[in-house]
Amino acid sequence: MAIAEILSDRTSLVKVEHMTHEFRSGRGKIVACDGLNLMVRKGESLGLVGESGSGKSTAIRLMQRFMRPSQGKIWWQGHDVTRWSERRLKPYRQKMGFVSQDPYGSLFPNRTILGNVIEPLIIHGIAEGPERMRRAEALMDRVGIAAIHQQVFPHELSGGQQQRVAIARAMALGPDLLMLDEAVSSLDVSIQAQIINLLQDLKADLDLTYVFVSHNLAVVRLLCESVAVMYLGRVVEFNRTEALFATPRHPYTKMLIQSIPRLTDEGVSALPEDPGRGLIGENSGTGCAYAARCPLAVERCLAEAPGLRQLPSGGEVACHQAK
Amino acid sequence: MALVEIHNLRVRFETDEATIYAVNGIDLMVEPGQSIGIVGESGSGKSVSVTSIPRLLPRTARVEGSVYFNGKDMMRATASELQAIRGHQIGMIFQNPHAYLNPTRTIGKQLMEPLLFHHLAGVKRARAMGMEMLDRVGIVNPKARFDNYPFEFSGGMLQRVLIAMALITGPKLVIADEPTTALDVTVQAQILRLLKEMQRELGMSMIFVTHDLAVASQVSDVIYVMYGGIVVERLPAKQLIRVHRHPYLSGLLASLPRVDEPVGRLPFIPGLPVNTRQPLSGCPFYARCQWHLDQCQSAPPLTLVERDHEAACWLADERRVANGQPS
Amino acid sequence: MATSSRVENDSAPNILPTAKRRSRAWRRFTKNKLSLIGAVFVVIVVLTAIFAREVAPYNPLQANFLETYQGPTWQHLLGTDSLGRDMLSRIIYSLRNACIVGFGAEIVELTIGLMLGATAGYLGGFADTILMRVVDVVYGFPTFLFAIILVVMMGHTILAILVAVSATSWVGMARIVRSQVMQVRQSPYIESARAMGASTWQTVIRYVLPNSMGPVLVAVTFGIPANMMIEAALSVVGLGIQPPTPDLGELILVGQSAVLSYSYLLIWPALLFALTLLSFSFVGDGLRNVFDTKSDR
Repeated sequence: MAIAEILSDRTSLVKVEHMTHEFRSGRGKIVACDGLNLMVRKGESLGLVGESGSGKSTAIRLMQRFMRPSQGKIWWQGHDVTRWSERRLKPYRQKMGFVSQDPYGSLFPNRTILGNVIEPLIIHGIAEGPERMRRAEALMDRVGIAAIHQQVFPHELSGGQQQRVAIARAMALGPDLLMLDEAVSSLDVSIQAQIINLLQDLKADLDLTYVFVSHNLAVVRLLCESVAVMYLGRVVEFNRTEALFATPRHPYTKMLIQSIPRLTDEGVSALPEDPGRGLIGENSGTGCAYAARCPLAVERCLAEAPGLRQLPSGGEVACHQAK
Repeated sequence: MALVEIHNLRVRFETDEATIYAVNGIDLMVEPGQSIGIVGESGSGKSVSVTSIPRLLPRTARVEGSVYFNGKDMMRATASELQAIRGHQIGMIFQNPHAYLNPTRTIGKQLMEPLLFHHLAGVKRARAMGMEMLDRVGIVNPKARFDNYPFEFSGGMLQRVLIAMALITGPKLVIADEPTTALDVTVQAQILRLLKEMQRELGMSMIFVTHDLAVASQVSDVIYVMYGGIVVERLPAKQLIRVHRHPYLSGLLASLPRVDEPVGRLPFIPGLPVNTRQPLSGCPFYARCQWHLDQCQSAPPLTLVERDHEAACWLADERRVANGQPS
Repeated sequence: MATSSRVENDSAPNILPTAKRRSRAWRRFTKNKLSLIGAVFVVIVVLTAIFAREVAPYNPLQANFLETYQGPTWQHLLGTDSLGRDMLSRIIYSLRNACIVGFGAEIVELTIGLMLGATAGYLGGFADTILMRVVDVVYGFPTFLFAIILVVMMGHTILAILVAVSATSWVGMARIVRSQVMQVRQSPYIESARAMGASTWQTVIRYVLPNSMGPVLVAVTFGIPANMMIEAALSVVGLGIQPPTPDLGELILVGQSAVLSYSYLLIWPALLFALTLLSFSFVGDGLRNVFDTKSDR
């Protein structure tokens, strides 16, 4: 998405402009997000992929304003919410659900599963007594946990069931947008497929939009219209999902896709060749962060960091060498 | 003679709350130089099975059956005999290297420990071997890194150190329990490549435990698929995609999200993971299986369906399952 | 579509019925039989203190000079003291002070500890630094000496003793609450609460505190007997509730001075006191088992 388009936009569900976030630690500054420009329009689910340390989890937390960015702006539905108080944000939070990586840890341990699902309704003072119960039951039915006794506590459920409860809770206020942080990563394969299907159904039936953070490209592919690949706090490639998987442009994206061990009809993919080391030299600190691992790196990459640039074929890539 | 021979291994854990039936009778065999993969979801008993080879299960475990390593009856081995085997003839690599390294000792010291403990080398020689090993597992500048502490390494680098530690004594067998699960895919690829190379180079056997079918088939010759504490299928890794027979394996293969398939709903295995708090009766997959018969209430034995290929399913002979579809 | 989702998740096995689940905490608690015995004993002590008037056979203040220093008899099960007062009745009434100070001071400590600990733990940063420095300072006070000074200043009323006992003891509670809250604050469900728009106040009251309570309750069961100890000790040095109101510390003091001739005057109150303190410890151990949920999953 072109930067001009992002800046002029007033209708997207969420967007961030030049968002930068630094953590201070004992050993100095860590830049988790470095000048991110992202936008999520209704019906255009966005996948954020990258390895640990890529800043994808920080990005999804900033987008929800769990913290304030060091620099840059966050917009919700045309409002600059970067500096808003929690009280002012509250009504907008109804439109935004959150499902985290750890299904057990994210549920309130002191509430039954029914209690967990109605909690958002209580917080926002929505519906009363039987109406509240009816809503909760409908939600639980919708995510496939109607058969479970409502008065059990989260620790008594399996991981897949817990994640269904978490999804029901995130859906309780009727959001337009669901923020999913590695929402299926901790589940077993056979259960993961159930939850992915559920998320696909919800998206189609209720017109939901997702921001889906994952290290698993194959999962993102099933749930998102476009994908941003992150590396060390920056977006290195952005494209429509089909295009990104068909023709990855950035050498990092290529390596990422290649590294996934996968089964094809012929058998299993071979272990990828060692890409060897990239250009190790004096990186001025302003150069491309990937240069040290990049097989395509040239002198220029060490001196000058590539910005995201539009490709004629569509999509954007931050690489001097990519075509 | 096989290096590892396990017969009818059963393990259960007795706690105050309940009894966990973790392993319900498995047979497993590892030839010298062979690499086998054990694949299963959480609660399948895969980790417990391999941990019982060096007899490292906690006290609450009740173990039955027989385990032979290199001709030695591990169930009858004395504590000192076991100690002599662990870390010398059997090397182990785990999921979380941080938890297995002492944060207050340098990498080098910990790397030398197995050599010194088993009196395989003197300090000087051990040091040289340690440096050489670090170099072989791909640690840049091993001389300088030798005296670093674990916190100065990244997760992938630490896993390399753990591999170096497991292999430094030249074990006959290395047990790798989900060694790449906590790592990023690009790092995972490097570690898998390293493990595979080292295994070939040193001519040792490897047992690779993972939940990831694709990873298992990348590094193993033979794959054991576990479910509900039993082996439901054993087959050559190369044929995994083509000849699998057990409905569980078929379902699992079909439900993997793939990057080369049309986008749509995934086929899935209905139901919930098996409840390990009840003793196993009949086929563990019975409740989730779409083809189940009355017959399946009694446990199907692991039977040979073709050369080098066994499946524990009453329907394995009649049914050819390909990608979850009966044909 | 809804039906298909339901099929995927057809059954809900291994879910215990509610009644059975409730009993899990009870089973954990009673795993150690001493905890159960301790709990029963504590309940008896508390009920006796509350219904002292109904339970005690005599007025504890009523002297009877015809029946001084009687050993245990059918009329006076535990004998009588130097003024002929019934020991059983005196002991029963003395439980009142012990309980009022033990529980009352604990309530005060808990209230202060929860407020300060939760504020410091949840807000962190500057508020935490300030509050914890205050805690450090108070922690430096010698508890008993400080209590003595307070009682001397405020007079020997039960209220003064209550204040004196709780004046410095709340710091331990504040520290426990703070460390618990800091731990719970990191939980993923606190992030979930933020995502649904819960205010800081709601988050603390609804999720942080309830999930921090385990170790706090255990601390309470150890705090109550500690308070009783201080109260009795104040009596022993003559700064507690003034005679003739019966008090365990005072009974023990008097009994001790007569131990060679009339040993029962010391044995009964001392035994009761020891058993009461021990019972609270056992209850604490039991609670610790209940909240130790590591083996839960």
